[in-house]
Parts: sequence; structure tokens; C-alpha cells
Amino acid sequence: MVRCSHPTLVLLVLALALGCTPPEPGSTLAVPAPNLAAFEPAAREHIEGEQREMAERLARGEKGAKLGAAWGELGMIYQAYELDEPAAACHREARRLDPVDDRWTYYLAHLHRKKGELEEASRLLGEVLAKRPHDVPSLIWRASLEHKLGHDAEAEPLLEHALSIEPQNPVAHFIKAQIAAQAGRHGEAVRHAEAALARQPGASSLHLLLATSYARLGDSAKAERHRAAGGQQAPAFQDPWLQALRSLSVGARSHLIRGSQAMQNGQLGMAIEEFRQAVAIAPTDPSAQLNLGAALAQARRFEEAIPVLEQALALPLEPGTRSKASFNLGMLYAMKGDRSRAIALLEAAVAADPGNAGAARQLEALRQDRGER
Amino acid sequence: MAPVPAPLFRWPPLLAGLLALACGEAASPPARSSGSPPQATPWPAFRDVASAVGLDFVHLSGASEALYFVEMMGPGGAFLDFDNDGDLDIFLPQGHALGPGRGPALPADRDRLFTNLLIEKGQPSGRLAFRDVSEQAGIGALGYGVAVATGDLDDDGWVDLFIAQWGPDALLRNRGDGSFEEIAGQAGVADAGWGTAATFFDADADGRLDLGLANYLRYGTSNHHSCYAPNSAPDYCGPTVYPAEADRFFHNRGGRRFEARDFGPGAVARPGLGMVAADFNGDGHQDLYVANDQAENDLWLGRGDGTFREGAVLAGLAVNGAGRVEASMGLAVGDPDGDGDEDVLITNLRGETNTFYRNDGGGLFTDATVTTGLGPPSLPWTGFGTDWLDADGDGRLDLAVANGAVSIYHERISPQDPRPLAEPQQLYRNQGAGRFRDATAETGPDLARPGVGRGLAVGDVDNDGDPDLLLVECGGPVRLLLNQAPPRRWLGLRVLDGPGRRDALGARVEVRLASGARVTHRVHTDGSYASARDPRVLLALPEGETVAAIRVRWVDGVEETFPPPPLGSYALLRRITPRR
Repeated sequence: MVRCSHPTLVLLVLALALGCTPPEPGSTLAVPAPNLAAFEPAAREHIEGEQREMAERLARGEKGAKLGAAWGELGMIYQAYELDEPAAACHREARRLDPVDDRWTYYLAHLHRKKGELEEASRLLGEVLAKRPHDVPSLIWRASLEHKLGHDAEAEPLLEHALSIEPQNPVAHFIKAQIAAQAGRHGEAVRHAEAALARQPGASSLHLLLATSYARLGDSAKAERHRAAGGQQAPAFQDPWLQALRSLSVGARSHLIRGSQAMQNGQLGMAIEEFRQAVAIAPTDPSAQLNLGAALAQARRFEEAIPVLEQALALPLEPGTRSKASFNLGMLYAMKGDRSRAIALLEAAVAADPGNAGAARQLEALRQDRGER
Repeated sequence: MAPVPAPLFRWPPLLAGLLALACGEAASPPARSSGSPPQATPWPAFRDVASAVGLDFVHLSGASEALYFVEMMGPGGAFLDFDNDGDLDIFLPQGHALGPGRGPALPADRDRLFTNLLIEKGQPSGRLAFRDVSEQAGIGALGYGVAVATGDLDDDGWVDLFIAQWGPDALLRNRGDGSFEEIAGQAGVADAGWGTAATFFDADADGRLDLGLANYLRYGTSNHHSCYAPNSAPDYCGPTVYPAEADRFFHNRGGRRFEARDFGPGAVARPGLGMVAADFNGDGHQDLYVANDQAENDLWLGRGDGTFREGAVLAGLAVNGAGRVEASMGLAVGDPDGDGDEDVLITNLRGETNTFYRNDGGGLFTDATVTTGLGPPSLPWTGFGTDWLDADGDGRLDLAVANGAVSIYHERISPQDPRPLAEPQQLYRNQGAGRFRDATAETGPDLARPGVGRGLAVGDVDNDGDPDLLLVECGGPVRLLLNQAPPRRWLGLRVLDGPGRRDALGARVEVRLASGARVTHRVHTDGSYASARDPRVLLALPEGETVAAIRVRWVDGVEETFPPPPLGSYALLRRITPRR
């Protein structure tokens, strides 16, 4: 593709007339070098490797869209590690050199969103939508931003458009429910929240929104029912570009974080896989073992969870962590019917943290059950 | 991925999940920034005079590379007139070094009491200055102080202090001679949890102030965990890592004795950070609202007899308009829309907005954040202390917010600041019609200056009729921000109840203006984060406006009307009608 550093019509015509292509633009941006001292070694090495690669590209004098893409990809790495200022600098440079690829604008929009610069974030998403008018993630994110800015008149058509493409999109219905509830249109809020819940029954935060709306409608029975079912799992939708960021970070802690997020989302299989990878990278990191044990137990794979937690307890642990791990393992043994081991572990839990009221309560219950006082 | 910001992740939140399993328990848009209407009143600057007036307090957080949770959560501060001389004194709780075997060590770790020399021996001195009187007041190193509540617990006319601590709480009874005695143990309020907010209020309208206490987490150096930020760097843990500590309600039995009582069915231990007593549903009884960190907020609706029923979800105050719990640190409860009822503003974590709940009457609230313009400017910051104040004297309540992060800004780590948490402070201007804009930049550099803002208290410290700010930083120096607004016409009231002439906490003051307008204020010292404000009612009056009458509804429901006092000074309104 022909690119020109002075893209005026006169220069372009002149260049074409002379039978040459205008010079491709290069970069004046130096590779951002944020402070990585506190990062775990794997993450630090990952980022530094990407920085070196970028520096080499610059040293080779690479230009144009190819260089822009490289800046964008470095920006993604920074963004994955929450190094937001360097990420934004990279995406801005990527946008300048590689304006065809909308990802850089999209990622930059999300960095502005995170900073609270909602108008700029919305404007950038508007740029994306100008070229990709049917991109559902961009429609929904922009609608969300406009709603937060109080511009519901701008948000509503974006949501209608998204729903015309994906009629069951739970997040589009969710935002419409919020808009309606805040305007006092609780019947409409209920319709949209119920639609979102039907599509995504695990999105437990919808129950709390529904509880409030049903209460306003005078249906206290439904309000109470939804209140009881309420939780903190928000509705979600597929956003491939943002999802691509999540797989970029490396290191045991990254796997732990992704595993924890998967667990919070109820994706136990994915959580177990992430925690297993964390254990493989850092077999002596108690965090990895403990989280794996917790995920296995939550998946009711007790026989697999027990050895993992036993391995964790063999590692040096902070007293509070030891107390929790002993408690959890003790409860697993109690559920297996092995009361002696359960009591020993609960005693260890209380010894490590005398304030562990849950362990003390269960210990007392087990002792009473066994006829002890 | 939902377009709802996820809470900051901190490891490890998962063990609690296993624990539960194992136990089997089982409108109209806001004005765009470019389109702000012209303002009739000039927006005041706030000048930090702390060091110039002798307020030399620097908070000892005990911060270290261990990243103990407690080291970044305090403290608050209090405006109070402990010597009843007519000016506001200042109390500041102190922290200490942390770690196994570490505790307070006199004298550097003592809480500090500063007396205001504006009025000395009953005479105005004409100068604002403070003198540290901690030692002669008998205030020692009481523990790791977090929050302060003020109220006259024994109705002797001298304001007392409750200090919520990380560890056993302290109750300082004001002897009335300039000194205090610590009586928490004998009074039955030496709660050992991690207290973060407290309020004196008369739950059963018996004329004695009861005590509400918000506790946070069951956290100590013995159950400390290492946590990491999503970028893999060590960071402070979040509230889901530790079990929550239950809140407390202490009923005042008289004789400086309190009795711990249950809140009632539905009481669940949640990590509380903010607490306010007010009549949220307009039924004439005092309620208690608790802001909980990453958990549903609690609304304990008072029955007027010292018992409560839970009502946050159905009132619309448990979660935000999206049905999500938020970090919920500080609380500003007041009437910024001037419709006579209590609205609620909660400060939240970076990535969440501060959330404004509009009282629609009858105890129903709507998350109206998006219509106020308060949301977007708060997104980048973590809010703690907050309160309503009429900064510019235009008759509308503006909003101050103390900000400071709870997760380290790793990009800013330096040898001088190994755990950067500083953020700019904010002041939002009420533009009328329910809309606000961030006007911090117009207040001068002293308020906006980044810091680890935690406590914030509003009070007229120089008795000039405009509200000033006490801003307390975690691990930093305190700021006393004097409002530099031009002189205004103002009405100041100190509202006193009971035989001992104590501040009538919970009373509603309705000021009827000659134009027919009515302005209501609740007499209170609670709210914000960990702090206690000036109990006096302060009202700016526009040119040409006069006060027709003042009506006070006391906590027991008795109402009295008072003639208008002179403007430009603080008048005393004393209850005349006997208690029901």
C-alpha cells in the first residue's frame, strides 16, 4: 500500500506523476520503558523481550503499516499487563502508521474508558463504527459509555442496532434494562432484564436489578425471590479483541489470575486448567497449589483436590494461608467421613490462626459429633 | 466480556468459595463540560493552612514492603468543640508501626487533639491557630486508630469521642475540664474488630445516644496473605480475601453503659466502611445505613424502639443501578436536590463511578448517577471521604471527595515512593437541576494536590460562615483547607437537645425563607469516611432573602418553631418542649 508522510493531494499527484511512491512514515516514538522491577521474572522477561524486538525493528528502519502493527502488538502486551500509559502511546503510534487496522483505535478507546475519559473513548469507538457499523462489541461498548455519560438518547439506537444483529445479546438487554430502571420504567426494565437472564441464567447480578424493579412494581414476592437469587456475576458477551489481550500475559501469576477470573465466572474447567499451568511453572508456589485445590474441590473432584492441598501444606505458608488450607483440607476429609484427620487438620487451622472462627466452629461440631467436649 | 468494569483483582479470593462449599452453608442528560452555564457566584479557592496554623499532624501508616492491609485504609479525623468555647477543635487518630510484635509506642504514636485558639477564654482572638493539647488532655497511644465518631454519650454537655481502631476500640469521655478518660471497657464498647466507621444516634428516641459501629474484616498479621496485581506485581489484597467482621449496635442504657444488641434477622457480616444514621424512609425513626466493600450495602430501618429490620435491596440502596456491588467507602448523606429528603452519595473504587442514589420519597431510591454528571469524573480515582457543602454560597450543596488508591500505581514506583497510591482530590460544583461538574481545577492547587486521601470532614473552622475542609491523608500530613470565598450572608445554628445541652444529632432543621423556599438540614456529625464533621447547621442566603422561621423536628417527633436569629453568627437553638 502506498503511504505518504505528507498526504496532500498536490504531493500525491506529483509523486504519482513522477512514478515514485512517497516515502513510508517511520517512528519517532522511543520504546516505552516502564518500571518492571516489581513484576514476576517471567512477566518481566516477556515484556523486555518484546521491547528488544521493537527496538530492533526501529534500528532496522522499518516503516509504515508493518511498523504500525508492531507498535500495536507491543501496546497489546503493555495493556495485558495494565501498563496503560505505555500501551496508549503504542496504540497512538500504531493508529498513525497503520490506520487500516481498527484494533488499535479500539484498544485505545478502552484505555481512555479506563481513565474515565468517556467522551474520548466514545469518539474513538465512533471511528471504529464508521468503518465497521455492524460490529456488535463496538456498538455495545459505545452504548455503555453514552449511557454512563447520561446520553441515553445516543445509547438507545446503538443498542437497538446491536439487538437487530444479535436479538438475544444479554448485555444489550442489560443496558436497556438499566436505562429503563433509571428512568422509572420498571416494566420495561423487567422485560429486558428477564430477556438477558433467559439468555444467560448464570448472570446473577441481574437478579438484584430485577429485585429492585419488581419491588417498584409492587410485586414483593418476585422481588424477594430475585433478591435471594442475587449474586455478582454480570452478563457477558463475546468480545474477541479484548479476549485476545487476556491470553497475552505469561507467568504463574498470570495463570492464577486467569484461573481466578474463570472461577468467578463459573468456568471451573478453564480455571482448573489455568491453575494446573501455574503449578507446572511454579511447583513450589503455594498460591498455585491452593487455588488448584480450591477449584478441584468446587468441581466436587475431592479425590484430586486432597493430594493437591496436602502438597500445598507441605510448603512454607503464611499463618493465615496455612489456617485456610488446613481448614479446607479438613473439611474435605470430614466430607469423606475421615473425622480423625479432619479434626487434626482443623486443630492445625485454629493453631495457625486462632481467629479462624469457621475452623473453630467446625472443630467444635466435629468433636461434639464424636462425643468429645 | 460485559461493558461493566470488573473490580480490581487481588489474589487469592478463592479459598472463601471453598470454605462456603465445605461448610455447606449452603432522565435528563448532564450538561457536557463545554456547555456549562455561567455561574452567578464565584467559585472559591481552598488554601491549605495546616502548617501555618500549627496543625503538624503526619499520619504514621506503618507501611512496609509486607503490604499489610490495614496500613492503607486510614485514618479519618474530626471537627469538634471539645472545650465548648465556640470554635472547632480537631482530633486525629494515629497509626503505628506494623508487623509481629509491633505496636504503639509513646509519644509519637499517640492520637492528637488540637485546640483552636480562634476563641480564647470566651473572647475572639482574631487568629486561627491550633495548639496540641493531647498530653494535657490525657490522650495517649490508644492503638491503631482508624475512625472517629463524636457525640455526647452521657448528656453532660461535653462532646465525647469514640475511636474505631484496628483492635479494641476506645471511648474517650470528656470530663469537661479539658481532659478525657478512656472508658470503652467499662462502657461495654471495646469491640475488638477492625472498626472503620461509627455513629452516635438515638435509635429509640429515649434521649440517650446509642452507638453504631461498622467493622471491616477479620484481619491481623497472623492471617495476612500475599496478594498480586493483575500485572503480577505484589499489591494490597482486596476485601474478598478475608472474612468480614460483623457490625455492632450498642444500646445506651444510661450511666455510661452500653449493651450490645443484634441488628435483627438478615444481619450478615459484611465488610463495612461507611455508616450514617438518618431517617431514610421518612417514617420519623432513625435508620442506619452501612456502606460495604464489594458486598451489598445494609439499610437497617429503625422501628423507633431500638430494633431494626433490613431494607436495603427493596429500598434500592443495596447495589447500584446495574445490580452490582461496589467498593462503597465513604458516604455523603444530605439533600443536594433540595426536595427535603436525604439523598446518598457513595464513593467507590477506581473503575467504578461514585454512585448517587436519589431519594424518590417513601424510602425508595434510584441510582441517578448518570443524570448528575458525578460519574465520569470519578471513574479514574478511588474515593474515600466525602461530604456535601455549600462551597460557593449559592444555596446549593456541592460535593467534596478525598481520593487515594488502594492498589499500587506500579508505573510510578520510585525510591522516594515505593508504594504510590496518591490521587488528586476533587470538588464538584452543584449547577442546579440535579447536575454537577468537576470544578476542582478552579479551587487552586491545595485541594487538588495528589495525596492518599482518606478522611474528610466539613466544618467552619474560622467561624466566617463558609465551610472549610479537613482532609486526612494516609501516611501523610493533614490538610486544613480554608474556604477563600468572599463574605456571604449566612445563618449558623447550633441545635441542642436534652438537659445537658448536647448537639441534637438526628434532629431535622427546616429553615423557612421569606420567599417561601424551605431548606432542610439534618443535625449530624457522621458520614464521610472514618470522620466526624461540624455538628452546626450552616446556610448561605442570597441577597434580599430573609429567614421567616426555623422549625426543628427533634428525634422523638416533637416539633418546635423558633424565630429567626441574627445572621452572620452562630445562634443556639435549645429545645424547650419536654421529651415525649
